[in-house]
Amino acid sequence: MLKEKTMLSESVKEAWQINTRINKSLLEHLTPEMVAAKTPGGGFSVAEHILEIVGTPKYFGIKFDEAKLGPLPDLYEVKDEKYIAETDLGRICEVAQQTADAVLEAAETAETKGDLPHASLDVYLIHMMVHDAHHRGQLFLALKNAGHELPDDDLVWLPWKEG
Amino acid sequence: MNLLEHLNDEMLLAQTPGGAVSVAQHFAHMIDAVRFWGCYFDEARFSAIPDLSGGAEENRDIHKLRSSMEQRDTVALEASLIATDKGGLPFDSIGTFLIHIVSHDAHHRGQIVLALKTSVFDLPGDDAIWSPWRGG
Repeated sequence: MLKEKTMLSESVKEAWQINTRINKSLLEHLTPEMVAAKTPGGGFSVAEHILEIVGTPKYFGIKFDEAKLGPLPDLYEVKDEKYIAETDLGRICEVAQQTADAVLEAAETAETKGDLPHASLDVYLIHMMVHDAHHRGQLFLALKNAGHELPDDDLVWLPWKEG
Repeated sequence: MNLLEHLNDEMLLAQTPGGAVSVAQHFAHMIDAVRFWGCYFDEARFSAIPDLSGGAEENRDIHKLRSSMEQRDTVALEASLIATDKGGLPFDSIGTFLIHIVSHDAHHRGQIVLALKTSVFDLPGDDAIWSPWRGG
């Protein structure tokens, strides 16, 4: 059976799957008490970092496949013109996985990059993975600062070497 | 590199909250990680990158960090483009290795930004970090 043509590089697809596993493991480490922990210096809470991680691929993804990615659930509600991040870990885990899977499928099957400001779908996904890592690094400091147990380093780095 | 261009020697001393890792140490680690893994597939090229893993005083020099980072990036790209196999790299491919490295950099950049913020230094604008991805 012929493999369908895709705009996505195999290494980027694999990296996205690794990144998704890392995020899943991180979410599984969290407890309800941890989601309120705040980044030192008055920054985001853990829940808000997760909102950034899950919401940003959808935000950009709509620019090349609104039909598939527009209906994805959001991890926030708006109250008094403020964005309130979801704190229910069960829902967070579900929406995070659904979003990651949908984004990969949309990128794999896309025939054009639509209105994405990125040079290619590969660059878009790598940007999203970099964005995730930036927020994960800060999320770790939020946990540390609040005296919570940190996930093991292997959780974040070993999957890259296992494939 | 935009972030390094924003920094001065004083900012290199800013520490990650709760962790006592300085901005300089974050950068030294970012450079050393590429040197360490890159040697698995092209020791000749990657071993020429300065070894900053010892945490020496001279690593807290912004000019040295800038030049080492530039060398790191040039070597990594060149070696990856001409490699004919992945040698002893424990990653599935050189592509995966490079994506891992940019992810590793980003993890530490996120923490560097917090080190600067909690030490009340000026932060680089968001665009310095994100607009290059969007063609900016």
